[in-house]
Amino acid sequence: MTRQEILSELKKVIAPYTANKELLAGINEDTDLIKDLKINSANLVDIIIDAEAKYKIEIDYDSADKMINVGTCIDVIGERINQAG
Amino acid sequence: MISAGNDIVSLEAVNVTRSKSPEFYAKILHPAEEKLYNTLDPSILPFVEYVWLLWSVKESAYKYLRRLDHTTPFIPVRLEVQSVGFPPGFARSSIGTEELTGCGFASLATVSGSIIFEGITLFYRTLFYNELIASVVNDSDNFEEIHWGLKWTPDRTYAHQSALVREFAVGSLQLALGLSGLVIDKNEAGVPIVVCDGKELGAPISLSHHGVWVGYSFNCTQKK
Repeated sequence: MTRQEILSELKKVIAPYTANKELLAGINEDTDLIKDLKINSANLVDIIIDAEAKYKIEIDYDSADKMINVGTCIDVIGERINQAG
Repeated sequence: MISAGNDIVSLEAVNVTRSKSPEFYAKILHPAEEKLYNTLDPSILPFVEYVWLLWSVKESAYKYLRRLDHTTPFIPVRLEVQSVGFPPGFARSSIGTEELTGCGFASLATVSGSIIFEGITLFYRTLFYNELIASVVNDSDNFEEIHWGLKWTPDRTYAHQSALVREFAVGSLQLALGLSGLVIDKNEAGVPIVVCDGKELGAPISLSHHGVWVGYSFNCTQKK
């Protein structure tokens, strides 16, 4: 998958956990999940589990800690997809 | 090592089904904490509430430690709650929409214990009601200088809750410190700081909001 394809799917994963739908539509790799999208930290675990199910991957604890903004989420998901493939 | 850390879990906002699923709680609980639960009375602390109680303690500890070292990672399974203690005869009650503030927890029935991260031990007090779980941590088991507050709000928007918790905390800070004109800002690392006349005050503060609750804690130890 390309980064753009991952981003497109990632928007769907994040959507249930942010009220800021307008910003979500225009997110880029610098968009911060907590500071910009106002996602509660308690929902970050939900996003990781949903991403694991969506991409059929496993995200370890250290990688999960790196998933701060959209770009690092794509990095981690892309790495895991490549490892799984 | 003076700092501040708090967290609130609004139980009406919790996904109960997901909280019970091993794929979810395995990302939060240390393996030893799954064993620790077997030593507790589930009629007092059901498993879903246990997961979120530990989450609130871990998030509070992370905030406490991150103020001191901005590179501290938040990996919940690596923060290990070592004990969960209830006062004798503890029975969970309802807080309704009541506002609560305090300095220390001497007159309140709290859950208490300790948590460890990379050799650092912190202590916690948790208020456990039907509606919420609210934790505060400290580097000693003495919470006499720890001020805290909880407030209910029907408005779930981020902007409202962010403004409300600051206004709520500033009111208590000004009373506790005998100062006026205080402002809560964030430093470059995103950690909340108290500012007076453009200067940062040495009063570590922590803010939290979730669901329909906002809350703060701040540490006045160094003011003595």
